[in-house]
Amino acid sequence: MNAHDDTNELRSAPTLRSIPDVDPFVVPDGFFDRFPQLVQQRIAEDRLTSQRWSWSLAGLMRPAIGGLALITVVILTWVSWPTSNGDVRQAQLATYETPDHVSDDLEADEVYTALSSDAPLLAEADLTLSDAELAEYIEQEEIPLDLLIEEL
Amino acid sequence: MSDLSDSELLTLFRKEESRHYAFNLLVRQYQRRLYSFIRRTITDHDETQDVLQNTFIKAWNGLDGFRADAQLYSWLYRIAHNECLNHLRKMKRGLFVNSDTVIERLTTTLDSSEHFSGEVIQQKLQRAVMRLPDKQRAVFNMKYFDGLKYEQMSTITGTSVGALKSSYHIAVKKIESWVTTDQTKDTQRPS
Repeated sequence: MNAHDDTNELRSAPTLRSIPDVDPFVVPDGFFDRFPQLVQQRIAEDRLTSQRWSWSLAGLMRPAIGGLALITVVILTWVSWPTSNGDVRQAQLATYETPDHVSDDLEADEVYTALSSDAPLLAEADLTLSDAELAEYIEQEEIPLDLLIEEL
Repeated sequence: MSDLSDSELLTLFRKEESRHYAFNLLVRQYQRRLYSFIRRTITDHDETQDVLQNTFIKAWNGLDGFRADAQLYSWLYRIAHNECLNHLRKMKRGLFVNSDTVIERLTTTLDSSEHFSGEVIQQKLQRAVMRLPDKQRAVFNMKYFDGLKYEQMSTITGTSVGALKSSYHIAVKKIESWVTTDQTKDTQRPS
């Protein structure tokens, strides 16, 4: 009779009850002495494999991070690069000639004084309008008559 | 050295300096019982060794999260049970065959005296057990050979006690019938 199973289920199974309770499977000699060592080896191997994997992953990531950084730099440079209008302005600045009366070796306050001397030049400019020009301007701008009277 | 209790093993395992020592003790303590359970399902020694190793590797990786209120043996048994079912599934997938072919392969191993030393009646019993569906076979092995309680089996398989009782009852009836039929055939066969 099977020693393990003392429940009622085997009452109706006389053949099953009569089978001796022994383990019939052959286990190689010394297997259970060696097995714990095999498990420890597997644990060590698995740890090494996971370490190698993380290293190789880091190795793969390094060039990827470098590439990403390069792309970021290129994009930032592209975005901050002066536009075509900016180019024209840069060119205008490069070709700007200093007035003759402003010497390159002047100090800041001297430059201000020199530039202030341009004021008479502006005063000399002909800013007067003829009656016909003034009438045409008022007509074009559709300036209300009452506002004009008030201004005058 | 006498076996340590679950809590003693776990206390040792949780200390970094005695982690490997504790696990070594755990393997020594449970390897025979788990081996027998796996071997009865897989039959081949080499494959049993692989499944047993995988079981202990999973235990090593999961032992930190093991709840102390559960039984260590039931937990290990559950891992072994799942590993067995996975192994059988892989066998079916790998061989591109149905369950019958896998059962045929498993029972072929029993014919070799290198693997099996039992009496004729035990060989018949093992052949009959192999004919059971995978989950029912596990239930039969747990109850008949390992003498587990239904409550323990329920924890291991995640199946209700009622369903396990019913499954075991059906398995016993099938096996009794198959073994008896085989015996009748043998006695009728001319020598």
